Amino acid sequence: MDALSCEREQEVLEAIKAGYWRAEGDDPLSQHVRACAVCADVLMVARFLREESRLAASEASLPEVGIVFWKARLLARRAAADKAGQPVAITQSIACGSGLLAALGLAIWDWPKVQSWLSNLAHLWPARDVFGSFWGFQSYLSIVVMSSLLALLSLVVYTLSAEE
Amino acid sequence: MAHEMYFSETYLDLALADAVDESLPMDEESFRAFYAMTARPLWAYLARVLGNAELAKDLFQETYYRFVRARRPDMSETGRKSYLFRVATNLLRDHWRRSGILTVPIDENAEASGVEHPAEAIDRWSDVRRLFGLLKPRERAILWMAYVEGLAHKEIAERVGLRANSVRPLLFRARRKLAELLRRKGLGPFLLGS
Repeated sequence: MDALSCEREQEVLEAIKAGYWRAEGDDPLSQHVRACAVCADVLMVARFLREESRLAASEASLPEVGIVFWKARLLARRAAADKAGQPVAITQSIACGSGLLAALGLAIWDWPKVQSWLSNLAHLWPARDVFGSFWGFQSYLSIVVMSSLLALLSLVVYTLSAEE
Repeated sequence: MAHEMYFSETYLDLALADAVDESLPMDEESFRAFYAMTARPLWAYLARVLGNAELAKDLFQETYYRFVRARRPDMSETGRKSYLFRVATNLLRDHWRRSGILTVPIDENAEASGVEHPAEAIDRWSDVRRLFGLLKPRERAILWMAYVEGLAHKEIAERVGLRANSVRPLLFRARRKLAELLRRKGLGPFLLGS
């Protein structure tokens, strides 16, 4: 025995577990507990906690086992679906982003061609007078196209970062 | 998220669900038997160590969700029970770490109050129960493991995330503290008696 523990602690615990503990007994273990501070503490604490455990277990209102299993299975399925879907979602986002970047790059690289395409489009648009002069409308259309591309690109970048 | 919607609307979802069900380490029948054996002890552990029934309910369910989904090697019944309690203890530790809680709110006068007559104290066991809440969460956990579950120091160390050498002094201090509180409450003669 030292200050922190006693070699007979286990015997005390076994006696409690078996339910044959007798405080007033003349057996060597009872005599030892009366003289040993460590074993007296062990006895008190173990009996208190075992009573607590018994009470807590009897008071428990446990969820129905079928529901617990069903929900566990559902969560497992969801986790598996998330895991399986992740590469697909990332690939989709990368494909969208690449397409948009390519479109943006082409537009910048061959801007005169895009301008002429936009001017043809502006000629066909019946409501161009509403926006004032022809050149004003063409600039407006260019801004709309570029802004849309940039907005889509931001969306793809956001989706990708959210995935990660 | 977008990919969740995509998958929930395809046949892949069903195929995946079947594959997941088959890969679960436990079928429903074995789970029912295991639950019948472990649910009450697990509930008692969480409820008393946490000192909060609502929180205990959440962690109780989460423990079983994680247990069912966990990929673990083949184990004996005792091994599985031990694994379940380890999952629960990890959840307790996460909860304490997140919330920064060191002790459960307690009746501040409980410790200072004088010795009562044992019969009065036993009649008010619910009040006595609060004494356990005066200990730190880790102290409550290791006392429970040592004296309710009967674990060895090494096993306690593994579950709580300590070195085996650290368990002995911690257990001693926690036991001494609780024994002293029980004596002050007048429960000494009752608990030491036959």
